[in-house]
Amino acid sequence: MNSRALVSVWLKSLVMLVAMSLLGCSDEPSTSSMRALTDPPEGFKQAHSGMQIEFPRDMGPHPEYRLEWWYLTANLESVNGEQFGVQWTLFRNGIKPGPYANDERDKTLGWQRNEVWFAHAAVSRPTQHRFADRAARGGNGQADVVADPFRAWIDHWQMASDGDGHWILEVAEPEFRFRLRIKPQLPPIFHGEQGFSAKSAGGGGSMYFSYPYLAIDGEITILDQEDTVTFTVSGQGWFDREWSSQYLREDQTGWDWMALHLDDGRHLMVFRVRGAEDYFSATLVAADGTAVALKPDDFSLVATKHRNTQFGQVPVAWALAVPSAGLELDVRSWPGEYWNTGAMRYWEGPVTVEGSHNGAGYLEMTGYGD
Amino acid sequence: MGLGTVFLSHYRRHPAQLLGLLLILVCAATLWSGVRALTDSAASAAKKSSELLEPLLRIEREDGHPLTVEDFATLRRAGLCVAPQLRVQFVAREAPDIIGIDPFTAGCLRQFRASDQEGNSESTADEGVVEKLINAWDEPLLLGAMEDFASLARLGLSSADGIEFAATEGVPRNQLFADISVAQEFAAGNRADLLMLLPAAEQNDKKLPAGYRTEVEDYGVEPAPLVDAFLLSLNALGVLTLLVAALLVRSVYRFALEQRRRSLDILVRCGIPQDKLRIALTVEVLLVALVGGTVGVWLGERLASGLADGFSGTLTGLFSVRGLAQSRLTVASWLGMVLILLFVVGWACFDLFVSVGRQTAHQNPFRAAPVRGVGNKWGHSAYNWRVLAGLLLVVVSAVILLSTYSLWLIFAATLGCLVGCGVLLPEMLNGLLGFAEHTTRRPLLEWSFSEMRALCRLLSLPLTALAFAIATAIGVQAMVSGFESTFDRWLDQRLQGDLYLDPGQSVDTSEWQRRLQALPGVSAVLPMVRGRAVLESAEGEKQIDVFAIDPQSPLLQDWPLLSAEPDLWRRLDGGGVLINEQLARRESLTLGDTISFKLGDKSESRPIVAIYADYGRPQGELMVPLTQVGDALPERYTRFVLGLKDAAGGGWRDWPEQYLWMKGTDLRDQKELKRAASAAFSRTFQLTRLLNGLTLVLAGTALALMGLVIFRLRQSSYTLLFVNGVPRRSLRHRLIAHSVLVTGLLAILAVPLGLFLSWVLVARVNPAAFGWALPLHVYPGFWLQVWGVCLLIGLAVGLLAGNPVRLETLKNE
Repeated sequence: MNSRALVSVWLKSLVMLVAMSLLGCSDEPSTSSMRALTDPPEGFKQAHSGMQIEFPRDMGPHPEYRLEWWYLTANLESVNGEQFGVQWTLFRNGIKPGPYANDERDKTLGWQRNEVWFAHAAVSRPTQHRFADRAARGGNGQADVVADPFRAWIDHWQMASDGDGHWILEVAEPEFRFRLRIKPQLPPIFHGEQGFSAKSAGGGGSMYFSYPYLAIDGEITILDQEDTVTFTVSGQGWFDREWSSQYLREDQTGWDWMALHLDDGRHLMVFRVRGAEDYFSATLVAADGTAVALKPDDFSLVATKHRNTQFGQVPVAWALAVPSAGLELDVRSWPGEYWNTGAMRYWEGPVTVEGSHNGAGYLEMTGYGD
Repeated sequence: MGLGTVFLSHYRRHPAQLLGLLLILVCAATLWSGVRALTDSAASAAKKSSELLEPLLRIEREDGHPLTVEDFATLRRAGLCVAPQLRVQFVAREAPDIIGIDPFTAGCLRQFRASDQEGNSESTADEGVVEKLINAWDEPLLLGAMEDFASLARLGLSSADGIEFAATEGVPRNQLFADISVAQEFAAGNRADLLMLLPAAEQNDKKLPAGYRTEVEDYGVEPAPLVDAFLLSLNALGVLTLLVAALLVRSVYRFALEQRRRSLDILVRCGIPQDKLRIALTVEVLLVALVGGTVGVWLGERLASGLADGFSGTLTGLFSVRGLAQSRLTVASWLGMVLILLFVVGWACFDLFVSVGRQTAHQNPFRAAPVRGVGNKWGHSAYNWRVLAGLLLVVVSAVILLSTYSLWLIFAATLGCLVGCGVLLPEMLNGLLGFAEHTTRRPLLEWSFSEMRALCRLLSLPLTALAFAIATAIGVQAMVSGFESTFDRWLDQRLQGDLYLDPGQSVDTSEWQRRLQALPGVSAVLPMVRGRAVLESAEGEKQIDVFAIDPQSPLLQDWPLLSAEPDLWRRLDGGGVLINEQLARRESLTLGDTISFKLGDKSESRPIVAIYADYGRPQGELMVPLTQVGDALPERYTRFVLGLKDAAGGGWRDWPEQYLWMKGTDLRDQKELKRAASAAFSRTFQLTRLLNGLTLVLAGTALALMGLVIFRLRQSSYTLLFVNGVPRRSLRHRLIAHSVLVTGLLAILAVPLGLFLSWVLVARVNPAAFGWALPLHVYPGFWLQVWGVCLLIGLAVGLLAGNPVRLETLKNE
């Protein structure tokens, strides 16, 4: 799993979230929304250890599970050296289990109320963050994912395979647009036990795999009133797939997650779920794509500096050490604020890595702020 | 014994006075707050409607097939901010339409959009719709008015089982909002249309996918702001009620103070400081206003909710203002009412406060004032000034009235005239009686006239109030009856067909015309298409109605026209256009002028060949040949007029059962349609009549109450005559005669005022508010009725006053 699973925390009931998102409310206390992640599956299947991940099937949706997402973060740079961060996420939330179509061909479009999709997109620059979201009911063709050839969309936002080993991600909003060509450089890695990622010592978890290293190029356009500037960009990214029905324990209140690309070709995903007892998990990916799940004793993650923001204080600098891998990292958020506002506010922003190794990555934090 | 108890003791001795005072205040507060509650919610509904105006397009498939959910996905994936709506109509059953919306995309339409960042909600009610639908996502929910849900529940549909309902303000009547998936469950067996709506602005920078085209669904242009005029008229009536109430309260108060001077005088002599007395009076004023205002506001809210349905129907019918919210009792409205009443009561006691201010510390302001007879120099000059001021007010107001077209100025000038006349009327009555007093040679008759003059002086305020009420009754009755008779004649001319068919749904006009023509006994079929157009006037674009007919039809030959060029039906066919009186007046258009307008997305300019009368609706309208309007005319709706070979036969009543395609249609004959039209207008005037009637009752009751007390005051005068040998019985008759004569004379004097008000309403207010003028009719029969009522009031007061001879009244003489 990754703490993205915890994203579902926002989905107190996803419906509520979308409602608030549509209506522009933003004062839903994050703690109360944790219940959605702790609720029993109620007719949905629950992820458990021993389950197998299969391709391309598991790139597609899992309607028998309540919550899942397709999650991309990217650290990009223009030809003139300007830094960009890009996030794109598509969520599916099952409201009622079944009836399920046997395969793609059995799907008939209609007006239903058994699932809700929503999506977030953001473009970040140092001290600047632009965010947009979309929502749709399931089953009417407005949003969906097809596993093979891979295609995920909501309205005109879409990420789809071009048949040439690339995914094309396109987003257009009044404030920004981007079109990125994405090519996985390493095969997918499975987190936890063969892809089952626990979220607490004895609690729930989710199926979770990632493409840790994506080579990305494309264009980002920033629209400022009448001023439109397009940047040609390139860089690297991280893509997560995760699904389950029950994730967290009741006492867990938020998480800190980061995915880092190091200059020696290694990649590191680490998260902490905050609760009565914090739960840590991490996966270290070697340059050749070999992934090792790290035990909590294998690494340490400590917040070293906080920043006052419009929504409260958040940790923005972290000391991350994996002694067995020779890593002593100082992870720092870019200057500025990277709140994805809307229903459930959370922080999703690029970071720089210094210390024993240099690098870049993304930091996600939930459950902070007023 | 505290000061409060002394103050209260007056009302303990005169409970009728306190009751009367409170009754007047409560009635005035009820009427005023009731009217305000209605007009406020109507104004906010109208404001909301206009705020939400947005040019909207309807997407259609180019191949003519109905839209499906796949089309929705295609359009959304093309990046268009399209919102679907599934409209389900229950064919042939009295039930609201169910409007299915998709809460996730409804925000594309301004109607459902959430509040902006500053928190200025564009549409609180409809925002509530989206919020409620999403919050109840996993259970089916209907939103709207309770009555509409009840009428749906009465159908006993299986698809309605287990559906929750939440009363939601702002949902138009006869509609229930639901999630589109819930609406879909009602679609089977009923008429269901899936629409894809797109804000017109979206098309500026995004292209439609191939295979689709757009039609104008809504021009997003405001119709003429006519609701304001309608509401202003209602408020003006409310102001009149307040004015009458103010006069009555002042008269009761002044009168009560006359009675209380003696006890106040004693209090001053007992050493109670004047400041303390003034405070006590202020507290009394506050309490009276508070009680009257509170009860009145509460009753006003009841009145408003009782009338809300009819009023909402009127607003929807006349002005297309929908979603009238139920008025709610608020602290602000209560406080507002109490303040107004405080002002009214304060004005009533103004004299007393002023006189307290004028006195030196050693003078007693509460001692009875010397009689300000006509011989008194100060009194005489005040009298002259009053008459002069009254005359001046009448003249200035009349000049304004004749020269203005602005509705509020018309009302203000009318009020000015009324107040001026109110000042002059008692003086005129006084003058008339004074003249009679000086002319007569019989001493008893001379005494009678002088006694009646005294009555006029003492009762001048309630008499003025009664005069206003009489004048309003006469004015409003003339306007309403005049409208009804004109409307009836106009309907007779306009309804030339034998049968009128409303298909209950949008239909293919030519197909239905062909089918109807083939029905047995049908001699002529005239399709009448209504829709919306946009007038391109010098001041910008305005939405107007469009009416399309077949100029060849024999059913049009007696159409009521105000002015027309010869051979107009042929000219209409040849590119002319007819306009209604409302449009002609509002845009200052006459025969031969050219008018530019837009039908759907097609712009045209045509000469005006005739102007027709079009009573009952304020909207401007233009009439064009049927061949000129396309299927894409916004809000296109077709009805049919049928001519029968044998109108007497009733076989047509079975058609909707006989012919499957006519199922669910509304077929009526001419008589029934006329009845329905008249009923609609009775409802429109219901509020006006009610206000008017209540004002008259209020004024009459107040006059009666005060008359009783005044006669008691005059008992000494009657008793003096009695001791001088005039029989008791004769004096009693005289008292009754005095009372009847004063009210009777007043009613006669108020008739010209009523006529003047009639003229203002039909010749000034109507054209400004609704766009049509009415002929001024006089109804002497009604005047006689009002006069009869006034005589009865006089008679009742006279009879109730009882025996005027009381020897004990001479004790102090």
